[in-house]
This record gives sequence, structure tokens and C-alpha cells, in this order.
Amino acid sequence: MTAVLKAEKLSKWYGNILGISDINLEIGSGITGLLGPNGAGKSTFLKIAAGQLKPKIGSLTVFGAAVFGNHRLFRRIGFCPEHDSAYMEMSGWQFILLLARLHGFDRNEAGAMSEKALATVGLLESKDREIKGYSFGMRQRLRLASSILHEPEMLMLDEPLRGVDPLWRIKIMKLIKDYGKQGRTVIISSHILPEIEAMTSEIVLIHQGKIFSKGDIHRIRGLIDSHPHQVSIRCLQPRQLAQKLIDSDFVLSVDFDKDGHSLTVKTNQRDLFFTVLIGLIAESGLEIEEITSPDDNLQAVFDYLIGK
Amino acid sequence: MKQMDIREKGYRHWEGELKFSHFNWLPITLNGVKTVFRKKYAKLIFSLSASTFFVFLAAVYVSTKPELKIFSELVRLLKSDAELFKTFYANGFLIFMLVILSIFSGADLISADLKSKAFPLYFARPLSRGDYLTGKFAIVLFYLLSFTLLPGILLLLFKMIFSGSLAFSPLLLLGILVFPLIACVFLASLTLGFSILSPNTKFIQIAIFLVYMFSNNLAQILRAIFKSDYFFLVSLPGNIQQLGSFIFGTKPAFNFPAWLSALLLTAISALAICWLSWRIKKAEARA
Amino acid sequence: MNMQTQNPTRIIFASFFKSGFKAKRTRVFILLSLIPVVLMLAARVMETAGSLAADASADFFAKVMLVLYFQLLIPVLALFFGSTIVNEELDNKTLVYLTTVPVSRRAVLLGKYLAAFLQATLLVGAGFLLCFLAAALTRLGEAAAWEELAVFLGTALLAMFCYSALFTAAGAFMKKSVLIGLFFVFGWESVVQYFPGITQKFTIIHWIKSLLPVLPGEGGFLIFQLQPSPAMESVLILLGAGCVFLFLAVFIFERKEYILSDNA
Repeated sequence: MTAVLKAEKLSKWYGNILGISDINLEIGSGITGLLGPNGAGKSTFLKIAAGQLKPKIGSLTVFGAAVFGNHRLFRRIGFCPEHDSAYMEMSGWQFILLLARLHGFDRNEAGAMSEKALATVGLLESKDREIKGYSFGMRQRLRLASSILHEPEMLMLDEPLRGVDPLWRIKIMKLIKDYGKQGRTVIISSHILPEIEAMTSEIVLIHQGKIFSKGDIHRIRGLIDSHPHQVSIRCLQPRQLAQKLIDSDFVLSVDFDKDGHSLTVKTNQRDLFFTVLIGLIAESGLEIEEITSPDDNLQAVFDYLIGK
Repeated sequence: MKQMDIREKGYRHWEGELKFSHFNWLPITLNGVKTVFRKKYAKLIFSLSASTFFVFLAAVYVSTKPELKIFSELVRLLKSDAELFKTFYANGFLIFMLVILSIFSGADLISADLKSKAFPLYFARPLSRGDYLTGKFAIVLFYLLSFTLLPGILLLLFKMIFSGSLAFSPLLLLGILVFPLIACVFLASLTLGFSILSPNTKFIQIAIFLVYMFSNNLAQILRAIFKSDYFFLVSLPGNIQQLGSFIFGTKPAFNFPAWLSALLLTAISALAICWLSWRIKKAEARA
Repeated sequence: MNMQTQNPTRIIFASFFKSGFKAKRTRVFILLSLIPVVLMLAARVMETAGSLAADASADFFAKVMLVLYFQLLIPVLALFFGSTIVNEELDNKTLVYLTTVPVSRRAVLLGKYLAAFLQATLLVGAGFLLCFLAAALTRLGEAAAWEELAVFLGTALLAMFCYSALFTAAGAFMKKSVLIGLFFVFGWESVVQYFPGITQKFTIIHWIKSLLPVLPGEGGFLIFQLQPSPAMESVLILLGAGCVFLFLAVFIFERKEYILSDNA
């Protein structure tokens, strides 16, 4: 993987407050989710990547070049900030057109690109309205439009779905996924786990300014050997199944759910457990309705890693 | 699928006692005072504002020591207590610093609320318009009175200590209390009246300062052209100086009845408060 | 994709110049700039009606122009327009849009500066011109009158340039530049200009006053204790100082990181 973004020993603090600390990270093409609670350092990292802040220690390069003060790089980078801000006295059209002109497009091209960007985010009909008359969700979509306007190779989105209605959430997620499929680099930051999960499995977990983990969500989960995995099995004969499983060394506990139709097994060897389970099912002919892994998701991974 | 119960929608009867407090505005004031104190350059502005007090403290000391004849020329104009306190309260530098203090402590009080659309936060609570305004007013008044009323009382106390005599004129004490109240209420109401005009605090700061400077320059120009001191009625510092003369019974700085200034300042304060009340009502309705 | 080289400074200038005139505060400043004009007209009317002495309006013009414009309106407008160039972007959190486009920060600042400078100059210049027309109505056929206007307008332009460049640099460097600016103009400059000798030269107002014609009579507001410098020297100092301040503004803006507060 050729790294598009490369951070080495990156640290940033604001007076006595730590933003990020000793971050070493490489991000290539595709969609990478930057996940962490509020105040984790996601925005700080993205602002350094977008040339808004300077690293205190270390370096961050995008396409092999430092970002701060390197305005030419922004032909290839698009940034959607988290703050709800815009030139309120301008119309949506004037705002996007200004940015298009500043990206170097001539009048005709700028008009076409602006129209396309606004249409993509569903603001073409309200383009002539002043931005102060837009709702919160519309302003969020406008910010997104400003970042994709010039079809950049790399897109950095800081909480892009905040305040957006459910219908547009789906559309924007699809847009982002399409960007990823085209081979562009997309970094999305969010503290809302389902959002990230819906768009990518490649995540970077950040908390208290440090990176806790990076990689495929499932692989990360698998690596957490210190914490048992939970597997929930819904079947008609849960007690019989439990009887067969309970004596195994790799089964730490079995709990029955209140409805009496399912059991939750804790195991510290997930792969072995599933191998044995499949064998048991085949042998005994038990009818299994559903198998899920309640903690094989971002929340559980996150909670484990930050020790909640 | 299990049916979901529809919860009963109704009002719960509350058995408690609704208490009214005359101090609902106090948290606004306390928070505002602390916020102003923590601002950058606060200590510099406070030091400059307090400098007049220390200069006059030295003058008071000298005036109570007849043996210090060498300084008698300097303190000539401070022969009488009334003249001393009038000069202290109505000197150009102190008035300038009071305007700066008003801007510093008060220009963003309401404009920041406008900018951050904070009115719903206030008026979603059992807070009246009066409480809101009183709270904001008190913040500006606190700082203005800290550098007028408090030093005035301290000057009087020090004078009594230095002279070794507890005798003082009740009228003087009244003047020391009343002048800062009128002047500071005027400045506070003017500042807040401007603050509600725009969410742009810089614009408000400049507007207030412009009124202060422009009014004085205009008065000077008009006086020079028309040869009449009555034009100083348009001058903010001029009116404060005349107010000082009126309250302390000293010779007015300008040749027109000093009570006119007192009336004008009081009228402007009242108008500003009405204006504020009306604007807050509109903002509350929109909240 | 046709990405011709457009002049970004010009694009920014055009956009912000246009939006600047739509802002409410500009309308307030327009009204403010017209107050001297109204006063001037009133004086002229009174002079014509015989309520004032024959030369009163000329005297009034000198005082209005010099005091209200050079000591008040120009520095204050320059302070407001100059300091808001960067600070307004920070307050509104819109700086990010101008710094995530392939446009140098220098071009951004210069474009915004030119827009602000032109707005402020137009506000002042229009008032100036109207005041002059009112005051010199009977002298419009004289070349001397137009020469006088040219001197005033030229000085006003230099004054606006120098002050606005200074306050743009101040605004780029610190957030609380308005109070500092007020202290500079109405504190430092007001006090130091009355000091004799070389100390006067450490103010902008000294060089401005050196360019203005000497007022008749004694004890004029501006010329008390003035030891004017030569006109050419004053022009060069004002131009040079303005350029230095503007260079400083660009230097700071290119290198400083602006941390947006999460407070509104």
C-alpha cells in the first residue's frame, strides 16, 4: 500500500492540553474511519492533515509533502470541517462558486462544477437562498459540497453526517463509499460507531490523543485475546447445546437469555469454538435459528480497548 | 409482536412550593464578573483605571499636610473637598478609562448571546427579562463602581485618617455616592444598549468608542463655530464633567446649567433601559 | 477540466468587496460618514442666511475635515475594517474555507485587504467630497480649491492606507486588536503628538498632519505643538510604513496557525 498520508511521531498540544501524542500512522487509498469519543484528538489530527494546524513534534505529510503553508496541495485535497460555519450573507451558489473559482476553474467550468456539487448534496433548488436561511443539515451538506467540489484525490471529512436527516445520511454514505471504490483516499472522523461501520471496516481507534489500534475491525477484535468473545446462539434446545459446550476448556461461561430460547457463550478461542460448534450441530442435529456475535462490533472493540 | 403500552400523556401534579427569588439575576452576574476578570488584558485595564485613585491618594495626603508647602501649587485646585472629589470623578483620564472599562466588560454581554443564539437557554428557565437585564447590568456596574464609588469612599476614609479628623460633610458623602451611581448607570445602560444592536462585538466596541470620541469632538467644533457652551450637551465626557459640578456644587466646566447634564444623562439611561427591555422582549418572543 | 490561471487576489477582492457593502455595519458607517456632510451643509446654510460670519463655513470645513476625519473617522474605520480582515474569519470560523483552497495565504490576505481598504476609502472619500463641495461652492471655479481637495483626498488615502495596514497586521497577530488599536489611536497618538521634538514622529498622525495645510488662527485642534516634517518625507514615511505593516500582516498570516475556539 502506498501511503497517501503519513504521520511520524506526530504530537500537538494547546498550552497544557494534549491534542494528540506520538502518532505514527500511514493511510492509503480507500476509506479509513477515524473513531474516538469527543475530545479524543480526531479533529486535531484532521486539522493538521488539512494544514490548519502545525505539528508541535513530528511530521505529517500528504502526497509526500508537508501540508501547512503548501496551498498547491489543496488541488488534490478536500476538507469538510466540523464547525457549523459559512459566509451567512452569501447564497449557497455564491459560496460554492467562490470556492470553485479559487480552485482555479474558469467561470464556465466553475459554474458547472458548482452545479454538480450542489446537485450531489441536494442543494441545487435552494442554491439562491442565503446560507443563513439554511437548516443545520443543509449547511452540513453545503460544507460537504465545498469539499468534493473539485473532485479531490483525498477527502477528509470531520463528522460529515452530523445533523443530516436519515435519508441524506444514506445518500452521503453511498457517496463516500463510491469515492472509496474509485481508489481515492477518504478519511472520515466520527464518534458514532454505526456510521463508521456502515462505510468501512478499516478503522483507526483514537482516544486521549493516542492511537489504540488500527486495521480491519474484525481483525482487531480477533486480536483482543485478553477479552473473551461473546457468541449468542438462538435455538430450540438451548439447554442441550449448553450441556455439550460447558465442559470445553475454551468455553468460559454460558448464560441463558430471559426468553429461554437463546444462550450466550463466552469463549477465549473464537475460531476453535466455531469449529467445534459446527461439528456439534452436524452431529446432534440441533436446530439453530441464529448465531450472532454481540461484541464483534466497533462499540465492543472500543470499550474493550479503552478499558471501560 | 408484543403490544407496546401507550403511556398516559398528562401533567403530573406537583406538590412542591414555587419559590420566587429576588436574586434570580445573581448567577448571571457572578458568572459574568468572573468571565470578565479572566479576560486577556483585564489586569492591565484595571491597573490603568486604578491609577487615578493612587495619584489622588497622594494628593489627598499632601493636602492634609500643611508642612508640605512646596506642593501647595500642585494641590491649589484641591483646596476644597468638593473640588477634590469633583476633579477625581470628572477628570478626563478616568472618564476615558470608564468608557474603556464599559467596552471591555459590557460590549459583548448581549452581543455574544445574540451571536451564540443563547436566548432560548436563558428564557427556557424561570428567568424574567428584568432578571436577565439586571444580571447583565450588574456585571458592568460592578466594574465601573469598583473604580469610582469604591475609590471615592476610600479617598474619603484616607483623608479622614491622614487629617486625623472624622469630620466630613454629609453632602460630600452623598455626592461621593450619587455621582458614581448616575455616571455608571448611564455608561452601563449605554453600553448594553449598543450591545444588543449586533452580534458583532468588534463593531459594538468601536461604535461605543466612536460615540464617546465623536460626541466630544463634535461639541468642540460646534462650540468653536457658534461660540456657545451649550453644544457640550452633545458631549458624553462633557456631560459627565458637568454632572460632577452639579453634584459637588463646584464651578461648572461649561457655561450652561449643570442640572441639564444630570437630567440628560438620567433621561438617556432611562431611554436605553426601555430600549433594552423592548429588544429583549422581541428576542424572548423569537426564542 | 479547464483550470486556467485566475488571479485569486482579484477573485477574493471582488467577492468580499461586494459582500462587504451588503453588511449592516457598512450601512451604519455610511450614515456616520454623512454626519460631517450634514453639519457642513447646515453651516453653509446658516452662513448664507447670515447667522454665521462670512468665513465660518471655511473654518468649519477645516475643523470638520481635519478633526472628524483625520483624528476620528479614518483611524476608526481603518481599525474596524483592518482588524476584522482576519478576526472576522476566526470569529465566524470561516478561515478554513480560504485556507483549504490552492490559493496562497498572501493572496487571501491581500484580496481581503484591498476589499476592506477600498470600502473604507470610498466611505471617507464620498463624505470628503460632499463636504468640500458644500464648503467651496462659490470657489469651484478656482484651481486652488481643487488643489486643496486633492491634498486632502491624497492625505486621507495615505492615512487610510497606513492605518489600515497597521491594524491588519495587528488583527493578524492577535484577536483583541480592537482595544489595542483604540489605545494606540486615542491613547498613544493623542498624548505623544503633544510632546515636542522627535517623539511626535513616533505616531502616524504626525506625518498626516505634516501634509495638511496649516490652519489659520492659534490653538487649532491638530496643530498644537506640531512641528511638521517636510511633505515629501511625510509621504514616503506613510507609504513606507504602510508597506511595512502590510508586509508584516502577510508575514504573520502566512506563518501563524489560528486555533479556532469552540466557544461561539
